Amino acid sequence: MKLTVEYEAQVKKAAGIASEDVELDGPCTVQSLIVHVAEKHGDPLKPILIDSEGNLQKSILLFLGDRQIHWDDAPELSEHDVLTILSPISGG
Amino acid sequence: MAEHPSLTTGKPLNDEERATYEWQIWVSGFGEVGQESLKGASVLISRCGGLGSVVAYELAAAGIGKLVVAHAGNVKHSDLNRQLLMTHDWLGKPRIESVERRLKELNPRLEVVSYAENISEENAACLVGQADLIVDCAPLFNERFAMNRQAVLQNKPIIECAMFDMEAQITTIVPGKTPCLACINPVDPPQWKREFPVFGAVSGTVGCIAAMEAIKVISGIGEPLYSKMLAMDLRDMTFRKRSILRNEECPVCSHLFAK
Repeated sequence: MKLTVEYEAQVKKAAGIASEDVELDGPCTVQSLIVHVAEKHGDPLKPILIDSEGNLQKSILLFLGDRQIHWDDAPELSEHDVLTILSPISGG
Repeated sequence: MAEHPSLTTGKPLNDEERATYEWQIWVSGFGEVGQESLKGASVLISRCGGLGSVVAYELAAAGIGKLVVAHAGNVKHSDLNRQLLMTHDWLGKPRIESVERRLKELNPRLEVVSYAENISEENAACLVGQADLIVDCAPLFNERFAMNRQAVLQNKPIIECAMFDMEAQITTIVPGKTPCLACINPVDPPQWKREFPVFGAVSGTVGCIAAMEAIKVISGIGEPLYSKMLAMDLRDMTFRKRSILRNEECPVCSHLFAK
């Protein structure tokens, strides 16, 4: 299954890239895709995305296409889906 | 005609105001009624740094009636790449004095209520209570959370704008209608640092968009970013508008949606 992962804000800085194409065996879940990219990149991206129990860090936002999704009830992914991982930013 | 109810009761214009705002009164759907809404409105902006300076300046130019501005500290060299209400001749002097002076130079009719302090749990209720709408330009999430809680308690719209590097995010919150800040950001993001890379043109871009959102909400025109987050990356000029979700267990706003 071909998928695209986009990174925004500090997540992009930690990943070192704005987006990447990923190919995984289907069917694939949002959780498995995030764990895959976290393991692939390692530090400093992995601890920003995943907590010590293997769950998504509470500060991270996920979007499938143009719609926000929650980690706990994320839908199954389809071929060519685009998942965006975003960290909150502030002002000053 | 307005596209949704205006936020405030308008105040009639005088001839000088009609002349000053003539070009925006021509905007479709806005008209003199929209300008009267702006004149009757008050907006809290905290803080007046890279984001807040531009929001305040645009709203002052647009003829808002009253700005409540809060910003602590003295002007530093490192403010001057983006905090457009600060000036070189005011280095070492209180930022809030520079803010008030610059706003009144632009619009002497504007009422400015200024506080030489930043938003906190202690002053949030008082500051939010003085405005019809809030534009959140604070750098720290504890300031943002304090404003969000009061905005929900006092049922006031709050525009959340933010920037980092060459990216920016913005959404407009209406308590009981859209996700609140605590729905979107349930925790203080550990990766967020007080000092971060940014151009003034990035904070200025999202500051102008925030001012436009405030004008739309106050006057009832257009489609504000309700339950939508606009994320932009000026490095490659990507703009994306995405749907955002309420947290049905949000400790701040979920009671507003209880059946």
